[in-house]
Amino acid sequence: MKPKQLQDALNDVKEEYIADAHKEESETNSAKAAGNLPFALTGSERKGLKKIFRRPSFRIALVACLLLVLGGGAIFATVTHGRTHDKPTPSKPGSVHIPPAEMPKLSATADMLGLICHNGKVYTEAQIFSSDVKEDIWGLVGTYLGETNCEIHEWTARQNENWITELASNVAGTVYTVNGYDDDFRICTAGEWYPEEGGVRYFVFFYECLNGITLNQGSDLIHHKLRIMDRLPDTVEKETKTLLDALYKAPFIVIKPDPESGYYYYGDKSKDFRYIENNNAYLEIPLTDGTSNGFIVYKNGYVKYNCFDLRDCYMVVDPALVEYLFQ
Amino acid sequence: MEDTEIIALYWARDERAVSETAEKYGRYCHSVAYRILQNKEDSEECVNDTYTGAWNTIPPHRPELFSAFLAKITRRISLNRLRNKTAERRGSGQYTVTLEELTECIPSSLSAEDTLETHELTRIINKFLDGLPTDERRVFLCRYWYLDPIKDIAKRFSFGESKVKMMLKRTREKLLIHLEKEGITL
Repeated sequence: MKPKQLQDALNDVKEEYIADAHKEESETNSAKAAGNLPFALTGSERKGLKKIFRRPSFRIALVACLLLVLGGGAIFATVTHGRTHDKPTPSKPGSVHIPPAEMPKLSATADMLGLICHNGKVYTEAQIFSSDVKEDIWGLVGTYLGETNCEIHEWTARQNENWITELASNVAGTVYTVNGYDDDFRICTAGEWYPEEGGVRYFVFFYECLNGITLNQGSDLIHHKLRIMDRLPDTVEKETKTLLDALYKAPFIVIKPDPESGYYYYGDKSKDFRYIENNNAYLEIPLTDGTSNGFIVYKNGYVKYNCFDLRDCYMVVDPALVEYLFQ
Repeated sequence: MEDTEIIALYWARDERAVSETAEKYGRYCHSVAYRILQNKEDSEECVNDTYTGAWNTIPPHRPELFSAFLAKITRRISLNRLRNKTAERRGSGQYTVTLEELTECIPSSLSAEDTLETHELTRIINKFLDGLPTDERRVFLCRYWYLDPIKDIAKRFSFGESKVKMMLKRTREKLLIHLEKEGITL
């Protein structure tokens, strides 16, 4: 074998790796917004951060945030949950366009999700993972991006139309990229806290951005964003694998909320498939990198990724493929 | 324009596909070609050949990651062009240097005459890349896929040059072990 052959074989390595290695060039100019902070933490910076984590005031704030988030999935008050941006719309049959996030212009009354702005985009809270084992968590944590400014609140949009500034947020935390995931889609906060029962636990809290994009079929979500197909453990059930294969090619549909009754209610509730008792199952797919993804699966074959931006968007598969979840 | 829309233009045999591709990814493809060829005119020709390559392969192909798909075509065309040129004038540019470095990854039990199906070798390298830490994989591909100079890689990742060299050396050693484990022996 000649080195030339090795060089040739390299040409066809996975495209995602090629794009990832020169990320800023393989993306379009529009995807590159100002404000990125492409530096890594030095040892002394890490030590400094650890000191910050150990400050009682910071820990109290962090634990308070975690409790709020874990308890109700909602942080702070007053921006309407379902109205932080316009509704998704089908852009062509089978695909869906999710408009960029916007803060409502009017005062609002419901809960406000945890959110972080980065590279001109808005990321909303998603999964949280914690462990006693530091490596389990820090293995997921990528490049240091900075500290959130905690300045977003219900009046932000009124005070300043250009409220999407780098690392503007309504949560406190140190923000990083997530190893193995595109930071256009997923970033995280991470740290440690000290439970009352003693010891230390480490956490990583994902924030995801699925707005300002178009999803043409399931693979755009399942593969290009969530990276599920690359990281599926061998132990995954055969039926789940078959379902994922179908989701890969599945079209999207949008079910818009009733304009009068808002996000939490759609039309005649008694006939809405989402409100029929025992009509859905929660499918959690663990991945080899230690993360997992949750889907809400309905008996009619509608499958929804459990996140804020896609709350009205469903992938559609043959109902026969989801039957096993209800047996 | 979204990638999927550009690809749809290729499928519809609409020539706007090429202009849209050039507008969106022309600079990227040019940078891939230029790193290999170190020549503006040659690079431009390779980029134009890339559009022809894309036109000829879509359909039937429907790339999932359009930018990387184009970069692969550019790289292949640029390497071929460089090989033709260096047949006359050897020893220039990053190509020759990286080629020498990659010699370290070839199991000693293989002679220069031994060949292996390229796609099988790609499969093995992909498996190797799957197991690498992200930074290590990025640095490896910057060096051996994009043929970036060490200095540029160091700048890109905010590493020292010696760190990059050491990372690459260790990765090459790992690759050698991986290739041997995969049974690339006689």
